[in-house]
Amino acid sequence: MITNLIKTAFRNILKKFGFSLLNILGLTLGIASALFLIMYVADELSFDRYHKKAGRIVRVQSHIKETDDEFTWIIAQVPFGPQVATDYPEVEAFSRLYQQGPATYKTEDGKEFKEDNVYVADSAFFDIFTYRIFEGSADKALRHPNDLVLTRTMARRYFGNGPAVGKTLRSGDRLFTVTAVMEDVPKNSHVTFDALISRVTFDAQAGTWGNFGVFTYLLLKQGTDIPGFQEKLKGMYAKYMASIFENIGIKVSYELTPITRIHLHSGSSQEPVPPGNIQYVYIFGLVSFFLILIASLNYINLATARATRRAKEVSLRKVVGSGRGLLIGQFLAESILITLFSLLLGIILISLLLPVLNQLSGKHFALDILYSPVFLAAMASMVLIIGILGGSYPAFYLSRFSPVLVMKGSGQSGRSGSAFRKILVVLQFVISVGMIVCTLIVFKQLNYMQTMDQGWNMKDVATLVLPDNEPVSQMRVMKEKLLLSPYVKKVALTNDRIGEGSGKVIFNMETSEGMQPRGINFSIVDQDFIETMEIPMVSGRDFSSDFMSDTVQGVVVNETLARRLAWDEPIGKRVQLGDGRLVMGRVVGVMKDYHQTGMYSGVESLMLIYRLDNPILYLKLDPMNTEAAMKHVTEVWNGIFPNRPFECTFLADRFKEQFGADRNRSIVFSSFTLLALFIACLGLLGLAFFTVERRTREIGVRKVFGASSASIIRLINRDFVILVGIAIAIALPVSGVLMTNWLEDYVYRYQMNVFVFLWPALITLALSLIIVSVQSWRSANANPVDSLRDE
Amino acid sequence: MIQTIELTKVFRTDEVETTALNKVSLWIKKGEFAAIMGPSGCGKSTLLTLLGLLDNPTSGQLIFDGKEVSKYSEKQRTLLRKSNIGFVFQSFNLIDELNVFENIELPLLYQKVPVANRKKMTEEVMERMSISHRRKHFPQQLSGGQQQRVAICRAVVGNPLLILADEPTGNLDSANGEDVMNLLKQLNSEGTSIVMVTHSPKDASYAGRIIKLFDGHLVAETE
Repeated sequence: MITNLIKTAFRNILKKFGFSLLNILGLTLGIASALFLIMYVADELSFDRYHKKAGRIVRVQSHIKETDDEFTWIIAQVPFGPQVATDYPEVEAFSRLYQQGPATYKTEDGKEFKEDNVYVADSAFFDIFTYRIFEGSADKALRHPNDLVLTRTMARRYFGNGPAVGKTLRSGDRLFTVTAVMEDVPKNSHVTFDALISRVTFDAQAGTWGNFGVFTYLLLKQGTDIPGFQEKLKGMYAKYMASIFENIGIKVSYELTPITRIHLHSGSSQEPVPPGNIQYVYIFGLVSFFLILIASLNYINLATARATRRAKEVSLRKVVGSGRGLLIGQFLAESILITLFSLLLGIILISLLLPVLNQLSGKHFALDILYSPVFLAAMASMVLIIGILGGSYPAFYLSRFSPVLVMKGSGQSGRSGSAFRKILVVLQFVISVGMIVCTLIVFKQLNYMQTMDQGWNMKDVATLVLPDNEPVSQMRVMKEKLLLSPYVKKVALTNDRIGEGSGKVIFNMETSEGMQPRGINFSIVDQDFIETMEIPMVSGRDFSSDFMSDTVQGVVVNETLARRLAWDEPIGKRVQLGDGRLVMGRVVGVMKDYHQTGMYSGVESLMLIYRLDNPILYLKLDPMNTEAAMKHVTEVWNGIFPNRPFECTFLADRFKEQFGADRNRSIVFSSFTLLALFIACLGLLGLAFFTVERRTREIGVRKVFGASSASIIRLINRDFVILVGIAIAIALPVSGVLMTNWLEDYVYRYQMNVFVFLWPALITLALSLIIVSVQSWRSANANPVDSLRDE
Repeated sequence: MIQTIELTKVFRTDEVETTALNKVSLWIKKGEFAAIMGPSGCGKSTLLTLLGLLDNPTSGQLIFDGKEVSKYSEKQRTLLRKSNIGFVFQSFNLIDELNVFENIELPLLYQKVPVANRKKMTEEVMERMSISHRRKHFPQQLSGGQQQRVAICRAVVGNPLLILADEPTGNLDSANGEDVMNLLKQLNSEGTSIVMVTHSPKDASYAGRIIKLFDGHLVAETE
């Protein structure tokens, strides 16, 4: 019997080849994209889970509370780690981790590379984190001063395929000994590094409870209650920090973040690797569910539509003795077979498209992920779910046909089926239209942030950065030489990249209650910074080399700072600058607010401090003579740093990078939106085809009695337009509400207007009209005689 | 009223060529009631579709109301057909989704008759054919005889010059069949020309003239 069922299933698939193709194509696309999205989501969820003790590792974050502000840093103070391990039995091990500045490393035989991703770690690092060690031993790797652990890639860079342990690398005046070679840090880690230096190397840098600066990880003992332990840590403030912070009104408390939550829940712009976002995991999960849903709805839809065509087969099988169960089995077998086939095609499609998909999503998937048990299980359940979901309605619907009814020749009915089909079509289009609107708004938002007024002008501004181990005063020399070219308009020096953040320190500021400590963002700049960046002044004056006192005392503040401190007359207000010795600064000017910290956060109070020597150089070029200008810049660079690679980037390019993660995600999202729409249209095409087929006789009658082709086309199209119209009416408000919510996460929000709703609606309507018209035109122009001839 | 001169219709499929009608010449006069008879497959229904302007002949001439129409485009045929010819089929061909009134009203819709007239004309014909009490019913709720009565209403509602009936009693029992034939006879006596295809000699006896076809040829005409 089974063979008979499979045989009939196969023949049915072949007999209605066009129909089967529509089905298989829709399912294939749906399954392939869902598989990819599942890969994406699974990868996002896998971050940092490869550590054997992942469940017990937490990162310590510091929560700073001032009198008028509070904020969280994802770092702690240098003494915190050792102290917490001594004081609290809950801590099994700790390791601090912090990045070294870019530096050059050199082998004994003179091979030299610049490394900018080297971290410092405590000796317990490998007791906490799990990495494969290829050479040497993890236990002893970070015990002694100048111990160095290399990743395999870095080891190969210096030592080829030969052994590395025991060899030395020189950097500056230090000679490091390689103690172990470990695997490369997996891509799904919230922090990546190329090498680790033992923390004891820098034991002299003890740090104080006053400066925050190191990532600190704790391995907690089995069964430690994290919230409870976090509560206990509050005791540390009184013991170690109160003496520093109490009298300036600052409270410090610690938060423990399980490392498996860092990637998706941190959201901090200070993360060493740009973090993910749990929202996108939900969104992509939902999208993959929708794609599967649309594809299975298609299947159900087309299969039920075809039901009437197969009514005769069903009734005949019943007449000769088939039970209902057997018929249900037959239809289910057919749909599982089709799904299985689609899955195979889907896997082939994914294999072919993987490089493109990787590029789109910024991921690095390899095909072997498909053979992992999780994926095999996912695929098997997908086949069963779609197969059974897609096959069951047609199966139960068809197997209900009474043999008598059908044999009489009047079994044309299927009205209830048609209502059901209409609901499915509406549902498909609700999803597709909704996704289009969302995609459009996501793009509008990105575009909005990229094009909105930054408060500074990045046009034609290039950046040069002081190479490591070079005296910072060289940048001032470079500035003077650069200005010799007529094509270099202006040059400014600063210590923070504009638009990418700033330092934050507690300053004593003049308030109505005297000098009060306040956490203030600050950047150090020279006298040409404000002018080069074209930041407008509101009152007072810019820094000037004509005022000798500016270099020591002068500060410029932004409007937000003046407002925050309620300064009616900001000029001349006092600021205590702690530059080793305490100096009383004076406000010389107020500038308009500009975005120093990027577009994902709001404008904060900001203070510019004047110093002549800074490592970052911005130069404004003559746009008409960029090439000549760059030639001059290269020459100057090579004159001052003859052995240093020349790297010059334009600010505008750099600015776009901060939107990279969002842009990647929106490209992925929009690709799948188009797919969803395409699959829904496939379904519509199939449905239109069968509607026309079902109504052939009616159309014939109408034509005999004088209906024109146009009126027939209108008649058929109207039904579909109504369905798509209903879908649009549901989708627009729903997506509007969803996106209003989504936009709330952004400080700078795109204001939705009617067009982001109107265009998707019109395009969908037009598209569906075209698809349906192809079918209705065909039937309207058929000869009515053919449809009315009595059998 | 209608004249055919050497009317020929050939159907071609990939491999076979079938001559359904072979040089048939005949003349149907205004007010006439003609029956076309012959065995299955002799070309009766094909002749009817040509007379009804549903299809074009392969060769020969078809003159309708004094105009040569055999080369008319589909659009022209539709125009001529909708105001001059009514159809009655063996299997009624009512539209399931429309009720009795709406089914009958359908041709008027396509003739662009204003709504008030449309209502009046439909009411009148329902009255005349004694089906008014069923106006709200759907085809599935009617007996075969009633369905054919509705179909006849639909055929005559626009006051066509000609009614073409394709085995109108073929799906009916004898009582209902007789009923339908009486209706057609009555319409004919009121002046409507009727051409009817039938297998039944009894039905044919209602007609004034019998045209016999065999294998696509006209073989006999009896008054």
